[in-house]
Amino acid sequence: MALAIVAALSSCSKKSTEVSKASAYVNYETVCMGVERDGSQTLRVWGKGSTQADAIEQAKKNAVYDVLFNGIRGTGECERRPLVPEVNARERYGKYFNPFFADGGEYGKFVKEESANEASRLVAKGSSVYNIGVLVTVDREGLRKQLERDGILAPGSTR
Amino acid sequence: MKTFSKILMGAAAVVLATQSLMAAPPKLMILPDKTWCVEKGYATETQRNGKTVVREDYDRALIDKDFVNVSLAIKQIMAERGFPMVDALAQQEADDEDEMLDEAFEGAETGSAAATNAYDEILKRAKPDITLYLGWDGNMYGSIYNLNYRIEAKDSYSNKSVAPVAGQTGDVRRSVPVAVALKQTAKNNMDQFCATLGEYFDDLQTNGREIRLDVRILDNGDGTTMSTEFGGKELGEIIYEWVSDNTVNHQFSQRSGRQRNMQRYDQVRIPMFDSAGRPMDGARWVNGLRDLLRGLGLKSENASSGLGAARIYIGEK
Repeated sequence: MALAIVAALSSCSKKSTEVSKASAYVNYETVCMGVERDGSQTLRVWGKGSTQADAIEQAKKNAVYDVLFNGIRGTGECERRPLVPEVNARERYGKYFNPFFADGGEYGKFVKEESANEASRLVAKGSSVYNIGVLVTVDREGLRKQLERDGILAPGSTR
Repeated sequence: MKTFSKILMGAAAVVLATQSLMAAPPKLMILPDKTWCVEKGYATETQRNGKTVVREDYDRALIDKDFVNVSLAIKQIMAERGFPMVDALAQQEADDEDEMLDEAFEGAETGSAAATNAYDEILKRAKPDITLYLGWDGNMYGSIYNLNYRIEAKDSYSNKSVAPVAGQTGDVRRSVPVAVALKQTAKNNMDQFCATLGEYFDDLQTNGREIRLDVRILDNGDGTTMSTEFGGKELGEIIYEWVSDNTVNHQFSQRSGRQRNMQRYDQVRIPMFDSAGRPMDGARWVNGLRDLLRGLGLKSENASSGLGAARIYIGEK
């Protein structure tokens, strides 16, 4: 399977890479690809949506959400601990995070798709849903500073 | 080139994701199981409330030559599969040294010492996520023998069984050491075992560690009960709400019904880390409840023992 995907990727560098239809219904875990010198994390993250644009936007939200509340598990050098480890933080600070994660919300300032090269997108198209895996970079340090300014994290947090 | 390598990594990630990717592995520690300790005579008997309680004598069991060799073999197998191990023997030696210092200190101070339990002490210091209990017994037939072995992985916090594995070696010559015979056979059964450990730990990271909580009110004459009201709310209800607010996704179960002087909870899922990002255990977690009680003007003592047993006594400090 790995070989097939690699071959597909190298043969069509300007297009999204289609993966099997069955993958459209699978919930893939966010995976660490690497950590930049400035502390930002490059992640392979998946999102679902009724259109490709929806799915990509959802993937970006998922990336920020995982960095904030779940930590990036799996192998890799990304920080395993969530940026906001406080128990039930998403629920406690719902008034803050609901607009933060709304379409066009603040989350978008801290995540960008890693490459303009669309071949990095893995697209699974189901009958009514897209599940798209994208490479994104999350500005963890920027998120931390923002949350400190907004009173969600204590100032001087070293996480 | 950088982009291409990331794409390759991404492709590999897809493959990995479809293979139930294991999160950061749990920290493990190996101890001999109770059956093995009793059979080898590494056990002590004490009387408690009229009952005879048999406890493992880890001081002797952990330096048994066969156990040392077999645990080393298992450690190798686990290390090859990426599981970090805590050395129980090294931990106990460090504990012994600390104990000597404590005794010297206590003698100089009050002379009193708190009762401790060797197993709890090892766990509290080493803080393994999962403890592997290892035991075996042999059947001798002239110049050959075979072994039945068992390994049971238990959550060090909740004491729940996570994954058991048992097997039997084939017939081997007596000249073959026990550790070699066991390693050969155990190696073949460990992949599924390790996968189960990984999945279990993954669940802990998502849903929190499981502990139990006991809250008791000591009769110190001030008349406080679980029904005493503070700001129009009963103490029992205040504690219940605190537990709900501070468990991951509000997962817990109240073991006791409404009792005048006691509340018990089990399957309490606490976060792996506190709000400062430090590792959490039962004793540290329940300090938040003490802060709440202090705010109500109630004295309390954190009497938590072990990693997964949080205990608060109200009315004493």
